[in-house]
Order: sequence, then structure tokens, then C-alpha cells
Amino acid sequence: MIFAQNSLPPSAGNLGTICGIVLACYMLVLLLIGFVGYLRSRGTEEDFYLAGRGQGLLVTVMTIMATFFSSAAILGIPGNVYKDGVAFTLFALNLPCAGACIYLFGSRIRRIGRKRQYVTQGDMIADYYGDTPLIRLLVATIGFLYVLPYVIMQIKAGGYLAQGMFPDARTVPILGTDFGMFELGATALSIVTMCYVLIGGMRSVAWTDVLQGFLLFGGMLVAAIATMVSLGGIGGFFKEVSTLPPEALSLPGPSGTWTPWKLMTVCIFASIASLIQPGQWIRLYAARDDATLKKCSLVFAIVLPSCFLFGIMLVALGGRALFPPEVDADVILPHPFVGEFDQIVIVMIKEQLPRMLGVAGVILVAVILVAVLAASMSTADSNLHALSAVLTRDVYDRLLRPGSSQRERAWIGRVVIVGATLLALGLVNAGHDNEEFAPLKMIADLMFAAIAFACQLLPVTLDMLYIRKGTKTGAAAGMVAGIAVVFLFTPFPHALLGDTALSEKIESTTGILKALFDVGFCGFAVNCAVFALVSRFTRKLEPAHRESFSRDLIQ
Amino acid sequence: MSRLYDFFPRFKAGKDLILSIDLGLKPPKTREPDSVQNSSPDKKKRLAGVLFALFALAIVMGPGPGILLVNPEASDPGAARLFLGMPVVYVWAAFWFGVEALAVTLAYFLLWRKPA
Repeated sequence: MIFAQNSLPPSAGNLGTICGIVLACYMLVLLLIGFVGYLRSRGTEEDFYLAGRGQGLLVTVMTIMATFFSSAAILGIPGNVYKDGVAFTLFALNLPCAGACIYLFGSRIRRIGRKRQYVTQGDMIADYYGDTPLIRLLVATIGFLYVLPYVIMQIKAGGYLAQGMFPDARTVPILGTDFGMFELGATALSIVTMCYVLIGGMRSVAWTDVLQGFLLFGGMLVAAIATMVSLGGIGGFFKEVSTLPPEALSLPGPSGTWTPWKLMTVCIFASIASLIQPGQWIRLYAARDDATLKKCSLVFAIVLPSCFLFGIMLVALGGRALFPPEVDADVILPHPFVGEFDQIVIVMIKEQLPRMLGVAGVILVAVILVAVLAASMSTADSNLHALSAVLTRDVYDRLLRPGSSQRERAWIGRVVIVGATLLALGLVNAGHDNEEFAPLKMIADLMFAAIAFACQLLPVTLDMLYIRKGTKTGAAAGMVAGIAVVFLFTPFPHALLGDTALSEKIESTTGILKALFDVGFCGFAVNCAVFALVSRFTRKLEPAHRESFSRDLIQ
Repeated sequence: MSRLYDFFPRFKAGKDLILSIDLGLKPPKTREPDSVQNSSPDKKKRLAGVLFALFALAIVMGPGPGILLVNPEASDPGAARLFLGMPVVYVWAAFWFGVEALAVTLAYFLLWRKPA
């Protein structure tokens, strides 16, 4: 074994400087791509949000894949494998499910989107169920509940990553105030992201996603190869892994979280929900043609799970063998050298690559760290862009200023992007020094339910695309019920009701359900039941309307 | 190779064009794959059902309750935790991923491609 803790080779001392150079180059390239996107733009709303509906295969594949995974791809998911062992590798099986849905949902969404000039998911859902403000507002609320926590948490991740890249850097005085690496990292990430989203819209976002996607997947595979080589090849690697304790080699894993039913419902519902969230829905509209989405579906279903199953998850398994977590009073804690579960990949590559490759290894470490940043930025930019579309099209244009021109809406979209970025950055910086800062804590709580909220659009999506038996009232009632159920799983009921018997009852019931199933699935089940029941007793949509909608979906 | 050309039609068009120029022939017309030409709607429906069932089976057997068939109990010291030197749960995950990928690949080549 080559590990000697806390003893990096001399070349690793240059990590901060090399990271700085790689990071500066990366940011400059992003801004350049943003500028080229601006030069190619046409100034219309459709161009700003959908890049003229002409995205080809490479851009569509990479932007959908890069948006699908945030920094969780290199930090959170390996962190779970490190904590719970091989049980969590089964999570990779959710990806072919999402991949198949890119074609099954995407081709229909794209066709009708092009024919009827939809921009947001609210446009399509409201058009089918009758363009009422309630339906549009509910869809916008679900989109908002998904998008906002994601933007904020990615900015926060940028701050932490800057701290990790430059641990020895001093504070920098700007305008009389001292800024630490956290604040500088979060600010740099948000400002650069805001700039290229702002100037180039979807075109810049998607083009930067291509670069970020390549960095992300390259980083995942390089990290896996480095881990294998350092442990003596595939044989040596699995020899180390076979020494893991029995609970790390079986379900439900050391923490007891991953029961088969829970894993299965996560694999089905979380993956589909991540595909019908506002940012991805817009990407489905933006694809050039059906063939693009079909190929994208195939590439996504094969490449992305391979990167996880045969790439980054192996790094975490190797990390578990080398730095076994500790158990203290039934609580699993990361190895002291690792510090946090999420840091396992960073620790592994920082240890291995400089030792194996010298200065080239240090450069690779810097590139992988930038890949983590790229993962954060690719999610932040897509969500920021989607938030702008949702607030402009579904709220400003329909409720505040109906009949506004395309150009006006494109500019309002830009104002939303600036406002949302500054608000998110302000909240992140305010919450950094104060862990009890209420707004940020509340948003962090919502983050865990974000995908579950997005899942509440699944019943109406299935109905619109395939079944077409639901009614307007049924759809609204289903969504309200689904959102309410998901809220029960967040800390909000306790905050509202205090230490009452009802709040305890809710907590214990949701605790049992959460241990058994995915939260999104729980909301989905109630949502479907209410949707079907209410639709049975309320006024059906006009047959002619359903037929014309169906025709536009298929042709 | 023809499947590769189905996936990247431009490659095939380019190759055929170069060949035809070299030989002084007229560029050939492109044609749809046989699987599409010969399939009737009923056959397609049946195949779609089979592939959906295969995919659903992979979800139930992989991350779902099917894993209990091979999952080694942590408390059982005699349970087989390794298969060919690798954790049995990991091999199970890789196998069912293969089945899912196969279902999507077959769907792409046999179902989703249709005449323009």
C-alpha cells in the first residue's frame, strides 16, 4: 500500500498555484464561450431560452448529462458509497431509467413544443389543462421549489471548493472588507456563471456544459484509473475491497438506509423527476429533432452509469478499504484523515496522483478539482436559466404584465438572473459565518426534498403525454396534494406546529415511510390517487382539444 | 459496422460518396435498416412490450427486491460475499445494468428508428 498519511510529495506543495492557474484558464474559457454564444444570439426570447430549438447531438447529450449531475457526482454519490459500501452502487441503475425517458417523454415534448412554441413546462401543462393561472402557478411553484435550493447549494459548494483548493490562502481586503477564500470562491462562481448565462442565454449555457461535461466525466474516469493503479491493478483493488466488513458488502449497508424497496423507488422516481425538472424540460424543447433525442437517450443510458459504476464509485470503495469509517455510539463517522464523507474522492486523488505522476499528477488533481467546480457550475447555470424562464414566462408574462413583447421578456429574464444570483450569493455569504442563519437553513432543508417536489409533475406529464384522461381540477388537486405530502417530510411541520402530539405523529409516520420508500414516490402515490379520483367526478377536457393535442404530440 | 453507420449516418453517406467519386459512379441512395422496413405495427408493439418487461425486470431484480436472492446477510459468517473475487452485490449491479443497457440499445435499433 502506497499511502502514508499527511505526507504528500514535494510537488504537491504547488497544488495551490497550479489550481489557481488551471482555475483562471477555465474561468476565462467559460467567459469566452459565453461571449461567442452572445455573438451567435438573435435577441429573441426563444433564442435566449431555447437556442433557436436547434441543438445538435453533442450539445444536447452533454448539456442534459451535465445538468443531471451537480457536484453530487464527484462529492455526494461517492460519499454515500464510502459511508454505505457496495449497497449504494445499485443507485447507478437509476440512470438507464432516466436515459430511456429522454426519448419516451422527450420526443413528444419536443414535437409539440416546436409546433406550439412552448418555452417552459408551464406553457405545455397549462395549454393542455386549460390556461388557468392556478395550473400555471402550481407548475411554477414546483419548478421554483426545485430550482432555487439547487442554485444556492451549488454556489455554497463553490465556496467550500475554493477553501479546499487554497487552504493556506490569506484573506483578501476588497473595499475595506476582508474576504476569505469561501466568500471569494462563492462570489467568483456566481459572477462568472451569471455573466455567461446573462449574455448568451441557452446557447452559452449549453456550450459551457459541453466543456464542463467532458471535465466531469474525464475527472471521474481518471480518478478511478488512479485508484486502481495505486492499489496494484484490478486484482489488487478487489483484494482490498474484499477486506471490507460484512455490513459494507451487503444491503442495507452499515447505516441501514438502503433497503431494496427504497433503492428501487429512488431508482425509478428520483431519476424521472430529475428529468422533468424545469431545466431539463427546456433542454428537451431545445433539441434539433427526434433523432437527436433518440441518440441522446442511448448515450445517456450507457455512458453515464458506466462512469459511475466502473469509475467514481470504485474510487469510493477503494477509499472505504483504505480509510475505514469509524463507529461511535452507533453513529458512523468518516475516518479522521478524510474529514467529511463527501471528501473521499478529493482525498484519494490528492494522495494518489502526485505520488504516481509527480508534477503531472498535481496538474491532474487541479483539473479534477476544477471538474468538481464545473459540475457545480453546470447545475447552477442551468437552474438559473430555468428559474429565469419560469418567473418570466409563467409569472411576469401571465400574471403581472400580460401581452409583453418577446424582447421585453428576454430582458426581464436577464434581470431575474442578476437578482437571483445576487440574492443567492448574499444568502450564502450571510449564512457562512452563522450556521443558525434561518433562511439558508430553511433552503438547505428544502434541498433534500427538491427532487421529490419535481416528482409531483410526473402524474400530469404521464397523463398529457400518454393517457389523456385527467381533468383540469384533477391535475390541480393532485399537484396540491403531492406538494403537501412532500412538505410533511421536511422540517416545516415541526416548525409550524411546535412540539405537539400532531407534529410528533407526522414525524414518526414520515420517518417510517422515508425508511421504506423514496419521498418523491410517497407524494407521487397520493398525487396520482387524488388526480384520478377528482378527474372522475369533474368536467372532462373537450375531445377535440385532446385529439388535436395528441396529434401534435405524435406527428 | 452497418449498425455503426445507422448511428452515425453521416459517416456512411461520406464513405459512399467518396467510393462513388473514386469509381466514377452515381452516389447511392440511402435506405432504411431492414429491421424498420420489415416490422409491422403489431410486431413493433409486441417487441415494445417485451423490452419494457425486460427493463422492468432489471429494475425489480437489480436495485429492487430481487437483490435479496443474492444479498449476503451481514450477520451470517458463512454467506458468500464475493463472486470471482468481487463483491457479489457489485457484480449483481453490473449485471442488471448490462440488461438495462441492452434493453435501451435494442429499443433504439429496433423500435425507435423509423422512416423519416
